[in-house]
Amino acid sequence: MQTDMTSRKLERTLNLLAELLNAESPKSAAELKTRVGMYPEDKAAFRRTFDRDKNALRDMGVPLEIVPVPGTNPPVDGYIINKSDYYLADLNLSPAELRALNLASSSVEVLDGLSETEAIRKLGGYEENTASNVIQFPNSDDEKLSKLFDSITHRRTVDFVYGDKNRTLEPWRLEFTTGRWYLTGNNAPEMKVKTFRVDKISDLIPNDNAGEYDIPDNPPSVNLKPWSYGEGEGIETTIRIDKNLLAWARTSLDTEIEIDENGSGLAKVDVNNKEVFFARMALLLDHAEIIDPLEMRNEYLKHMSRFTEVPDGST
Amino acid sequence: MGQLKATEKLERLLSMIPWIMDNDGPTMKMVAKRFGYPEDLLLNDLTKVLFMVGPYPHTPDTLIEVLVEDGRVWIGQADWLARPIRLTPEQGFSILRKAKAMDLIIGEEDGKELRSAIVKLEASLGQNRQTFGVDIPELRNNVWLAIDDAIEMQTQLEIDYYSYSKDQTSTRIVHPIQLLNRDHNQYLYAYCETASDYRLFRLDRILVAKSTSHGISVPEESLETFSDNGMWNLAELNNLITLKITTEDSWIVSTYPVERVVTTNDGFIEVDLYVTGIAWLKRLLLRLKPETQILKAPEHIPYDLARQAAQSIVDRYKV
Repeated sequence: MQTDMTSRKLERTLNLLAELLNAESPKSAAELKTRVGMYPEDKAAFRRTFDRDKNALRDMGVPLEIVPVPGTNPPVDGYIINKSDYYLADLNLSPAELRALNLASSSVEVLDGLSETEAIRKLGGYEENTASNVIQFPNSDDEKLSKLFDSITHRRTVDFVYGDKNRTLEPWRLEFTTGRWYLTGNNAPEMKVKTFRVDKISDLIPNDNAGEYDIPDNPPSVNLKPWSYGEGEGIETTIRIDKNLLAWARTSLDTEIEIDENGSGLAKVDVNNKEVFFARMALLLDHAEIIDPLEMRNEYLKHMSRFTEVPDGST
Repeated sequence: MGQLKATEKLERLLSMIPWIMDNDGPTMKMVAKRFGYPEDLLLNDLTKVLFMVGPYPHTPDTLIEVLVEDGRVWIGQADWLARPIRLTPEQGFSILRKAKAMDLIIGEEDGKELRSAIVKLEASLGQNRQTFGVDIPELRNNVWLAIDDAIEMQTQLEIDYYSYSKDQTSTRIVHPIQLLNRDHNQYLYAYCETASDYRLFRLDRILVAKSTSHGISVPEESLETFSDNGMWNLAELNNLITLKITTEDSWIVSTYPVERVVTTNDGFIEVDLYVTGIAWLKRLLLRLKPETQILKAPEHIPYDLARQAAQSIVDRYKV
């Protein structure tokens, strides 16, 4: 019985889709009822069933629009699917390319994240299961990320709240690095390039209008080196780092490290903000040392002397 | 007969029909497996439901044609379903995220197909490598490769591990179980012979990882799978301290799990927080204002810890 009802609903929804995809002009609900021929006669029951079917199509991503039926007065709502918005462009994926996406799907696990299984089915389905998870992504707000992704796709400005401030941004780039998602774009009204941590964005509202701006060819990547923030040229600073902290320093300083003959490393960083740089140096404790320039070295020692020369009672 | 809801069937059929039309009579078995559709249900829905679908007036020349013969299936007269529905933003985002993450670990040669698939996906989604990026720096080195290999081969690893909270490096034999992400960091979950227990090792603190030829052999009584329960149970550390900090350093309240926060009459803030190790506390204190005071601490934590830590740094520069 359950199977019969499921089959009937499936057949009816498919027939509704058949009407909409084969129609050249908007069709009213009454017309669709007649043409599909599987809806209840009772008006209220028809409405309920018709609404459920429309929602099922919309939930799958069918771009079902409501526009007035031409020539009706007073206007009657008509339903239409814009074919160019409905069909997936022919990606022409080779079997090997689809297998590669299959492998990515099974190898990368997103904790509590959106599933891509429907996407894979649209692209051609699942081949033999080839791998178990080898990379995990942290939990993230996928609904927010999808909205930002879509805003970039359609070049829509977005409004959101960040640090208690209302922002309007032309989003250019969505980027995951060092465990978090970042959004970079042109921040209105001063139109300055800014980067925001996505997990700190709230009340996100994408603008309805698409194609509002252009994205430059090479939008900047997120800069996770706060010591480099500031105007003008940074001071090139060389640090020697002990062997035991090299791996961590490489990600913490986000820079290449040249290993010398005794196993310690030399890193070069450009410093604009000394206070932030000294705070980062402090994380390396006595396992690192500023080598050059001398002024930076002396200033760091002066900074540390504030701790060694504190009056009694402090740390 | 397996069960699927009508909406689940609809979603699978709309993806499956174009593929069947493109693949000249694939087997029912293959279609069922590829699109996650129980085979008995598939036969029923293709021959009894899809067969009845088409635009008005539902005459034979408008209805979809389905032919199932010798375990193979052909679909015709369904041009209007010859392409799947475009990807939703959620679907596009989730598949591209995984593909780009995979690209970080797949080799240059093995990754050719993945990279060309990414380019095609990006083009169809209005994205490019400049507008959507994924990077996990910990996966870009030999440590990750050695661990991944050891997990796959089920062999023990010798690792040099830097403990951030103790400021010590140790060499350990570990039996790798899995790689996982917690608190925005990548970890190796493994049985550690030194600790005779399971431990999490942060990937960017593993200095060296060497494969050994010994297979994983965790004592049976210790066998367990990873669980978040109690993973960050700081109270167990018994290292609660009270700090008196300036208002400029109030950021620590939102950055670390704190037990108590009180603003004092003289304009400072008192904070109770658990420390995971002395080295961790040294690093914290050296990022706070020098006026910071430790008001209360367990016996093994000196009250002038920041001064001692800063002195060690200054001493290094005297050599």
